[in-house]
Amino acid sequence: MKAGNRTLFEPLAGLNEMEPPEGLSAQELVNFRVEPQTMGWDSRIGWEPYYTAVTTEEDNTWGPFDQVGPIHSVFYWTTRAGAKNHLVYESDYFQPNVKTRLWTYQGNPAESIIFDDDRRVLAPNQAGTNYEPYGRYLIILNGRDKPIIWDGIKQRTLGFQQRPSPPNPWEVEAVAGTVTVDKTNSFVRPLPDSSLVVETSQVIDWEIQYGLGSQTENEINSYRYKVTWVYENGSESPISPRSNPTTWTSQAQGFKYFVWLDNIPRGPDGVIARRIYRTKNLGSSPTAVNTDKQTEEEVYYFLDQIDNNNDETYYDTTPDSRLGSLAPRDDHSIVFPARTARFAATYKNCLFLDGGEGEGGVVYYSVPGSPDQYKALDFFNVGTGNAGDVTALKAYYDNLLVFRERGIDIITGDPINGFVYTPFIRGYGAKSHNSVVEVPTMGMMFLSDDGIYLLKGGLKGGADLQLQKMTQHLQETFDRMNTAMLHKACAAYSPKWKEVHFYFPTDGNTEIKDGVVFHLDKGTFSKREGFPVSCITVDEHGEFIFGTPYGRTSVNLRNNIQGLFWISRSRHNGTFYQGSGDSGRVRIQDLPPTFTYWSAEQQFGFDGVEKAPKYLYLKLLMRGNNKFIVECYKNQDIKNPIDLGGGYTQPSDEEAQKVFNNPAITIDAVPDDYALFDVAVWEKPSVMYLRYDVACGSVNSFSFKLRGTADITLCGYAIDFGADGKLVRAVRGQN
Amino acid sequence: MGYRPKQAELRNNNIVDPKDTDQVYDAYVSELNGNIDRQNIEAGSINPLDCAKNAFHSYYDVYTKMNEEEIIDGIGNSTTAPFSDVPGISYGLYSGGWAKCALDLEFDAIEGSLLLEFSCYAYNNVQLGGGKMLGGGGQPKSGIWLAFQILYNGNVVAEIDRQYRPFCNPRMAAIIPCATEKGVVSVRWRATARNNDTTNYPLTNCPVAFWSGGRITAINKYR
Repeated sequence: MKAGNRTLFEPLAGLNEMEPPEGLSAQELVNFRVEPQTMGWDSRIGWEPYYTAVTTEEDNTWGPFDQVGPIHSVFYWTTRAGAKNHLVYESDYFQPNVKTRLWTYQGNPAESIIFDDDRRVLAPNQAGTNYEPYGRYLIILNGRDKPIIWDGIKQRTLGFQQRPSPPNPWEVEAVAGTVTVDKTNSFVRPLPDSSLVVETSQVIDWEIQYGLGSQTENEINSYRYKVTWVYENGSESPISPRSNPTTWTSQAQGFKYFVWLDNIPRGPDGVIARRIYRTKNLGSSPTAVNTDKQTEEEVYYFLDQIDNNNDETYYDTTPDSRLGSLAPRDDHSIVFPARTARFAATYKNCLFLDGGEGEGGVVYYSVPGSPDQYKALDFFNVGTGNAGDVTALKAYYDNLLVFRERGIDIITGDPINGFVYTPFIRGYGAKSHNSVVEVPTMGMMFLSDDGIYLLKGGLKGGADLQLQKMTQHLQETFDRMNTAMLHKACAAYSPKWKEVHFYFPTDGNTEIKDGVVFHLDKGTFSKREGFPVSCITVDEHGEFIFGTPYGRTSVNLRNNIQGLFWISRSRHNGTFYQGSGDSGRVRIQDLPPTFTYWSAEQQFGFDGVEKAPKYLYLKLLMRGNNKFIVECYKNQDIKNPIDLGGGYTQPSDEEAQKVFNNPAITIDAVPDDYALFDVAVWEKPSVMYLRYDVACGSVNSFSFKLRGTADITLCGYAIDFGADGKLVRAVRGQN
Repeated sequence: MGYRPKQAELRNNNIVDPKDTDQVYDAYVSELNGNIDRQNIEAGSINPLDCAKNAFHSYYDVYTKMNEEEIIDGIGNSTTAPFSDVPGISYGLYSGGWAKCALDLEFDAIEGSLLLEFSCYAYNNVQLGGGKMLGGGGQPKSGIWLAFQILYNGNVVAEIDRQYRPFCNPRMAAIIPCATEKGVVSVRWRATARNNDTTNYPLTNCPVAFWSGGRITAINKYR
């Protein structure tokens, strides 16, 4: 039938929840991705277990995830140019409210290995563990358990949790030949030059006479010691308190003495060396410098480094002239200040940490290159403008962004000239460290209380740092967001999918059920439903790996969904556990996730004039014998959808394309054929129009909805309609 | 990382699309072609003992002997005497010093180690009864000896000291490091030098010593 007018709608835009949504956007766009060849919406997504063989194994376990409860955090850490990768995740013990564990996933054999056990259970308002790479280490923090620094092989606690204790120098027995308990009796007598016969070619430095103390009779000699610990990365611990003095009086023979030190403290796990510092001869006043015996503070110098964490004793023979540089001051290194730090960021070679739940308004930073060493004054108090606690730290471009509950601040500068803390924005912040994600070519996207924002630009060279709201047109979704549970929100960017995923709890739920996806190809959003993401990360290929809030919660029962999953092209909607006991098996859900595409309300110009749509053309990539439901709505009456029927996505007038088919299944509808290798010819999926007859009479606004589980790629649509100029009758509304 | 999620899925009712079909296999093929790592290989599957037994190596060998032009007729003193068929060198053609064989072993060495071995059979004309040397007018001398060296690219790597015995099977071996290079293994031999007294040490018709049946073997184990 001749229609009279045709309107084409392509390329299609994304989700738009404005009322009424117009033009190329969609009112509902669920479970699609962008197909790069056509820039159309492709429904071929799904999720499958990370260890894909678990669904084919003939045993009743979940394989490497058998003991895994709900998962709270996951991180994929690549090292050695991708040759050695670590997948770390945190889950509850498989009985609730007992403990949580950190696991690393090992591929061969496929198993999860406990990385850290007996960690504290999360309270409902607490988020999972955070992971921050720092150079060749991974810093693992959650504010409840000890902070961990891990190099991929061994792990230890971050920072120095205590000061070393001072060593104990033994007393020196000044009179030769006597032996007294608790005193060393070591002395060296300087040799006169003539007693040594050397070759004229040898040079011997006799000006340095080893040993401590003065050679003048009746002089009082006195020394004190301090000790520090050194980690393998060069971080030095706070310096110990000073030791007791060791004191003796010089004898007539002019001996010099050695001092025996013991109780040199061994450091915690990971300490590879101890440094000993000593004063010069303090003389008769054990707190005074040699020259001024009354008022000077004693000064310590580098004596020696013991290159192990084992020796508890040291034999000091070094004269004052051989001492090294000044010892570090007390404020050069302090006991680890951020014991309840929840997250970290690496910026300008320093490790930045938040102060934790108890000190939400403080940001600490380490000495450059030494993530375990913190100076006493290296922190910021951030309490300006009532912006709330620090919730995330992210390095971006030439700044460190400090996200707070209701604000964003910036740290600029460098360790040499000093860091500067600047408040930047008030009113918008982020509640979860995991919901801030850097997106290449765009900037930093983050989830705030009322939507997703983009922070881009910089402060160097006249550039601007700008904040922009990305989701003005998605207010309905974000109104449903459970802002009390936003600490559980998570986000990730994949360069392979070119998508930024945001997952957050909605509708008062405490767990995440839905997500919002930003597609970089189109610059628009869509939604994901039915993906139970509690935490998400991206591997080195750009694949999404996520953990779920389900998982095993009882000794006897295995859950339908347990462990880690991929978001993939797998046309399956996850897994389920079939049966129980020894005959239980993990099975993959055969049915794919359901997609929904609900077009914008088309009013063809002016709502007040009635139009009669005749045909709906769907511009699709022809994929074979795929069928889905097509319904239309007249005048936004969602109670009464009109089924438009529809056929397969095969070309209308051409020969049907060959499809994969199981010959044992007889399908009554044609076209239907199966493709045999070496016999069938490759088919080219091409973009064509499928026409649907629309019999809904005259309408003011028209929209249609596609839904189903088939594989489709929607590239656009067109509507043929007739317009006879008839004006709509009711203007005032019904009586 | 060894694992991949599904890159494409062949489903019933979808058309036979080359891109989707290939993506299913490409993922596994690319895994085998470049991503075999600790996730794919069973832990402990290759141990040092296995490596030792099956270390990569090549071997080469060649037959070698004295150069023909240096050889005259038999050591035996008559056509029917023992060893009359065994030829030998004479002082007419050899005066002493190291003589190199023409038959070398040449190959392309790969960085690693080389086990070089040489063996042959050898005769010295010191038999009782004089032999041909007596028949030729000379005196059999107990002082006749043979010595050998193996050379690798011109450098001596093994040497056998003087062998005085009438019959022997000299054998020597050496293991040397080598670089990735053209390798030439050659053998040098040496016998008692010519004497001024040509009555007792005639220049012709008087074979002095002989060796043949030489085999140079090289086993190159790669690093």
